[in-house]
Amino acid sequence: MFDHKDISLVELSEKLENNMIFVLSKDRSPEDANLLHLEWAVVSQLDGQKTVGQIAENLALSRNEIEEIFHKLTSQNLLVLVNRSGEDSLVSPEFFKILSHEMTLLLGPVAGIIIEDVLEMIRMNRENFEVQNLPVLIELLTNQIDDPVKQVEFQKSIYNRVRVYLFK
Amino acid sequence: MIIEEFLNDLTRIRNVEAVSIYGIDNVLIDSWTVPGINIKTITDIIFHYFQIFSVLDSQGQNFKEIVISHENGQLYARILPDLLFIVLVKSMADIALIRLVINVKITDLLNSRNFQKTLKKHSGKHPNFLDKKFLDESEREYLKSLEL
Repeated sequence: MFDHKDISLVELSEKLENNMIFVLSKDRSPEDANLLHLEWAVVSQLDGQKTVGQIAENLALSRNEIEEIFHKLTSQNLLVLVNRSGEDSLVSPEFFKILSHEMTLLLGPVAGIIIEDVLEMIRMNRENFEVQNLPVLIELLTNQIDDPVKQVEFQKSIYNRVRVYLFK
Repeated sequence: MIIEEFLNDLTRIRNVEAVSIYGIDNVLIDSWTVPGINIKTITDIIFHYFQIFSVLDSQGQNFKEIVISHENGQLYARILPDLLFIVLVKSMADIALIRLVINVKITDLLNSRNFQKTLKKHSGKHPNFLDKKFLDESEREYLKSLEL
């Protein structure tokens, strides 16, 4: 069912990413390992769907904590990497042309500057913008529009453009 | 039926596990869940939050939406004059998309004849369980802990 991938301990410690998805290994039970409370909490979240980032968020764990826990679970051969979510999910530069056009219709010539300001605020850029961040970008740009009616018009218009990315 | 017709995109969000729409008298108008999720269990959970939501509203807090963490993710509730939307989602990261889908689809839903007929069918037939007189002791304690 899953595209199981072997991942070495060294590789994991270097590359643990928020979009990785793990399941428990069938070769070893967590009951055989000496796990702490938080490590059990992480184990209980491994359902083959939640990403590392989601688990950290659900359990309110810091980046260091989640890395440490996954490092330990991997070192004990308890985990199998099944997938990564969001691969190949960058927004095309064409989308930003459409976005600029829509924003210019509403805000005039300052639209381009506002888009750049918002991108800078969320520390992202047009060249490497991930699809998963589109809703936040749209929300922040909507907040730049004063008229509530125009806010809805903007969201409706741009939503039809982003659906192709969001629901592949 | 209403969710399928107007809010199908919500059900296509990868981390969304359940969507429910309630009328102003708190009657379930429509619901959708991923396989393996029991809507009755979800409804029971949701009603506790509804009561709190309702009390906050009655105290003039004027909340339009709330997001509450639960053990397997987030519960997003959005209130409109005639409706309550509830979405169970695994990740906080999807809340912005859920909000966007509702924003974009809500006008069509509210204006549809199908929905108007459904609302009319339910209106005035049920007591409002969100009234604060229905709060139990634990819910009162919860509200007290919020220092409202």
